[in-house]
Amino acid sequence: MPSTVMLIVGALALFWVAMLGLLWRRSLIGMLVGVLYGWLSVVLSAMAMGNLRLGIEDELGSGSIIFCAALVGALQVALGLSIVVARIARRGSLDAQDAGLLEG
Amino acid sequence: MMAPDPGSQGAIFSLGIAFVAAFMSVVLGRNLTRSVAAAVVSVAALTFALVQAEGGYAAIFAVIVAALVLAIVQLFGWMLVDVDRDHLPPTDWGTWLARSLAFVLVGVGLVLLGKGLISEAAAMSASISHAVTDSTFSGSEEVGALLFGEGGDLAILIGLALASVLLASLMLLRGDGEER
Repeated sequence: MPSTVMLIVGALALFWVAMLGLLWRRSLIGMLVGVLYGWLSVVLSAMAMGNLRLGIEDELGSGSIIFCAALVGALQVALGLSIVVARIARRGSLDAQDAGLLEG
Repeated sequence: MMAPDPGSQGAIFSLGIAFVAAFMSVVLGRNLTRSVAAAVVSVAALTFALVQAEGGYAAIFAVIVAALVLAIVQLFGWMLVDVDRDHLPPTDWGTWLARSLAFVLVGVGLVLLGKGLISEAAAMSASISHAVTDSTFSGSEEVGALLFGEGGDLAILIGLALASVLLASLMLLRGDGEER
């Protein structure tokens, strides 16, 4: 039980860090790392849910949620990296503020 | 109140390290190498915490994917930019001081909330385990009773704290674009 609560608190804290990284917009790479933390907070939440036995087959239930979240996370990172590569190729800068409009 | 076992204490400690390192990786976003190094420390501490919390194969899978993502980001960084150079100008000292104070207050608040929640959950777990005879759904009932029953005030407090922290962060960081 304490480990479940710990996972929930950890997921909330990591989600806050992820939001900070995305909203601060220090650099495009920082935003990618923020996406990674957001994904990790989803993983922690899924594990906490598995610990709470919300599904009938507990481990399989949380594992499938984590697998789906991993697919979505991989797609997010691939898309983000392609944007970063295109941005650096055209403008030569990692500055997220300049990329606000996503113009070419 | 039940005393937490050493494994649980170790997991809480490494989760704290993971949170601090994750925060540092976002703060150190001006330099790619430092940012990715802090993120690697964060994922390593998270791995230890999940192993201590008996996360199973799903935890191993998750940290492998996280490590792969970090490796890809580092690889692209090596290919695309000068990783040892700061890519953004430094923040002026007044803003830096105000943000540091705000973030320290947020950290202290999160630690206090986490400690309060864990001790509350342990006390609730001890009291409910005596009352409930069917152990199949005891975990759900404990958390339900914790968040919507006796610990409802605590849940509201956590929600308000998270909302205010996010709003305060947004207000603090709003003028960052004009500094450059």
